[in-house]
Amino acid sequence: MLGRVLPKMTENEAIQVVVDGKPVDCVPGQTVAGALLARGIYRFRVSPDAGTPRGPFCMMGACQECAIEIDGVIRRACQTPVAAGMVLRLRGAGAVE
Amino acid sequence: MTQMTYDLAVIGGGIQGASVALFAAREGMRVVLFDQGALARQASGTNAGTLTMQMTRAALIPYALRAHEMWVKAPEWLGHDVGVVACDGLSLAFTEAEEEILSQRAEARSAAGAPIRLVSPQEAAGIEPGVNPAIRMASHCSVDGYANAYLTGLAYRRALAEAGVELREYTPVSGVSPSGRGYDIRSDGGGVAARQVVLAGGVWIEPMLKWLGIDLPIKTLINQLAVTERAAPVMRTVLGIASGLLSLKQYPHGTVVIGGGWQGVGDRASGTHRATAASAVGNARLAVHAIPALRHSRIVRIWTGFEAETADALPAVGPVPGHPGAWVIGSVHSGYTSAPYMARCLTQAILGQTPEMPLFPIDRLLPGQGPINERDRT
Amino acid sequence: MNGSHDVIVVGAGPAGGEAALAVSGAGLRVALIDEGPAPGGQVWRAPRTAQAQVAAARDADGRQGQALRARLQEASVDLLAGAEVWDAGPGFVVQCLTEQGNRELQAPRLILATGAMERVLPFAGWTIPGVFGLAAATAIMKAEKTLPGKEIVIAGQGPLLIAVAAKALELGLRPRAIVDRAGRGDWLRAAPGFAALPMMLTRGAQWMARLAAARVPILRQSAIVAAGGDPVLDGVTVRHLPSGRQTEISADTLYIGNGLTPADELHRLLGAAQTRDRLRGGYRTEVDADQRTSVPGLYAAGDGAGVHGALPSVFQGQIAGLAAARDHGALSAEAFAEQSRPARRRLARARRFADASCRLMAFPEEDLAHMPPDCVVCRCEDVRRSDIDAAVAGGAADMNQLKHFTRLGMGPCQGRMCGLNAAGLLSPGGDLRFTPRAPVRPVSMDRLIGEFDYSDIPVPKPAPL
Repeated sequence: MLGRVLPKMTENEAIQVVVDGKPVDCVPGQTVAGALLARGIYRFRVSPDAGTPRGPFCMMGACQECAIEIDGVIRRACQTPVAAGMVLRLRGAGAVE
Repeated sequence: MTQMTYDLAVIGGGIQGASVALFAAREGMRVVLFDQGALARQASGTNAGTLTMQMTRAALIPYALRAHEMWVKAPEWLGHDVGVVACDGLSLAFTEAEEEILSQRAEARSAAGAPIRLVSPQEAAGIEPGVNPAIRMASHCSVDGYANAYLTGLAYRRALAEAGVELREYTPVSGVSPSGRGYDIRSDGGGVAARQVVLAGGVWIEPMLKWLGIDLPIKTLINQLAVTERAAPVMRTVLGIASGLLSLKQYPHGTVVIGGGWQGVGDRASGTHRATAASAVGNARLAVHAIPALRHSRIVRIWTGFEAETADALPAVGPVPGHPGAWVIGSVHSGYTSAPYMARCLTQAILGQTPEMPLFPIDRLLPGQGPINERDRT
Repeated sequence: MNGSHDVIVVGAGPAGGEAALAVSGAGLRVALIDEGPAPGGQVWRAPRTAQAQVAAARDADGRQGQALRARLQEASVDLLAGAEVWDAGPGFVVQCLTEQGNRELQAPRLILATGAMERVLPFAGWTIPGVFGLAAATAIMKAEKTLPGKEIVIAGQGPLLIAVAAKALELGLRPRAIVDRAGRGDWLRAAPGFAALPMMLTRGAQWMARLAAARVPILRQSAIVAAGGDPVLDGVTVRHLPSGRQTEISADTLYIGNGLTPADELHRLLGAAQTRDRLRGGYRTEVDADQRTSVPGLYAAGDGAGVHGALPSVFQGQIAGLAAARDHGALSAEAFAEQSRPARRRLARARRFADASCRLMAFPEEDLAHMPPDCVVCRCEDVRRSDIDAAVAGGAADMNQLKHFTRLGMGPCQGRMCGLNAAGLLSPGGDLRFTPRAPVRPVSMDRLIGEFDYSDIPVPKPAPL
């Protein structure tokens, strides 16, 4: 299977994702983490044991602090590009309903 | 170092050996416990921690039930936490063939005393709301649960210290031979003499028995398990499948342990083992099939561990033939579940009493000998 | 796809990309695996947004990244982008997760080029949202041409401090302060090493000049000792280390890094010999002059084998690829010597620069001991220093026992953020590490299982009744 090349970048037309039920505009190509941070959203989840607020830290996929529910599955926000209609829930592992 | 003779030397600090050492010490025996590494580091520390009747052989149900009682009361006899949770157990059938197997097993185990009954999919869903609605039938056991296997070593180390057992971890034993006083146990850094000896080496019981000239083949299984990161609650029972190929439970802190006897690769001689991708994938598929919500989670650890099995898949617990004062305990299958009770019974025998339940003497497994009695065949 | 490649390369950064090109240039079939959407690794990270793409064309790193990506596209390299390697075993069999499910590859030779990750010395409040790694800043600036934050503090050590601050200025953000553990003396001592690569030195000097012109305060010999704010960052406490004097700076964003450390999970999993090496980020994987590890058929290049920086990584990658081709028989001894000569020469020149950089980035191990008791060490499981001390008092003597006592290292980062720090607390100056085990990253269940039917799952004989 051949690897994908970077998609051709066109305009900066905003696409929309849904964050905890609210629509948020993002730029095509942004990562979910980048999009949320650009909106000033720093707190993505809470730590499972102590319940302290957490957000992205390393931005390179190692720390797992940005792992949230993306279209129903836990994924690292810093490694996942936004897609139109994507549903994000700002909870990660261990979050209480 | 004085030339003192111990009352009991236990070779192997897994849950069987450690339990025997603990109980014997509490009865006043002077006990030394050896392990080639850290306590409960092999099978006892790496298993899925399931305390279930549903994967326990019918012949062992009476032992497992009594052991389950002990586990639930662990604070009384162990005194330290292994995270025991008692809950319901469900074993699932997805196909007609599985329904057949499930019914047979439920019947055999319930005849042996386990409170197991067959339930409809609707009732199963009431007991376990997250279960795949595609099940055809389930067997339900009200006596089930789990412990946290990796806490075993910690708990036993404390209990053994409190009981005055001399603990020699990271001390491989190289041989055991009969002596005037009982047995000489050879190890690096100085051996010991003991009146009685217990071989509790798990998969290494085969080479251990060879020290005493006994040839008992012990099969080495490599069990593979996986655990997810902490997740929101998705289940509340211990789940299995008719084929026995799945064990699933979610711990209070949210991690889900996935097991079921999928095999990794490795061998006893090298003492090493590793997981296979094929087993990881197959096991994960079964898990997600049983609890669909698991699809959203991530596995963060996969590991393997040894399990010992005799030729007839029944325990090796009892005296070593031809060697008074030498005993063996292991290969119990669902050994983690039954260990405390098996160990209690063996300790009684070691003390010269009649054990409260029959042991499983190994004579039946030795070349040239048939089964000691028919009951051992069920 | 068993045995359909002659060489597998894990990691498509400067080292891995160059290695793959060298292998394919020698006529061999090579697979290049990377979890990102395109090659480039960290330092040549591919732009993700249109804006970032425009900026990348104007930036030195950006242009080098584009060049690598273009060369890889033209070469017959089998690129598996967006594929996460979670296991590598003898033979070499590599497992990777893709959108379509789990994929297994096999090749007789394996080149690891997995790069490095950041180390941060824990301090009170370092888990508060708004605190990011220093490399995190470069990651987002390169990929998205933005930098989160209005009131930014940039802290830590090494050349990355200056690079990030200067790039922030380019984006129109003026950092409130740069907090540098190093003193002027440390930088002066590094200057001769930096001078070995005049272009790099010039670039650094330009950055410094811009920061001076923008009057960005540089607090030298200083460190962040606390971050505050709930639920997000609102300020940091800076301590001047020689005097102990503390200052509060209000900030909504902190970028902090204390050097890099190799991402060596696969090296360890495969049993490659390693040595303690503070300059190289903690441990380095032992390699010969041709980047061969102690495991036959296994090569290691780039920061994943020991931190050197981007430029040496390029040359190490070239040498590793050529060596794999040579060992396969696709290059004669003479061709190998000739083709690897330029890379070796450049590597030797780049070494002095690399070492100067690495000296500034060396993690302050001795400061681990000063960590306050309530400071979080294991972020995933909220294990604090006091919990570690209690475990040690309770008899925990190695990483496994520490793990079982406290759950440190049992979370999804698998000890990446805490392992070296915990080891440093448990056994200062010692050599403790977690047992390497697959999966070397969290494995998404949905990707692992792929599409299947219940009847696909192999079922053995039922267990005895």
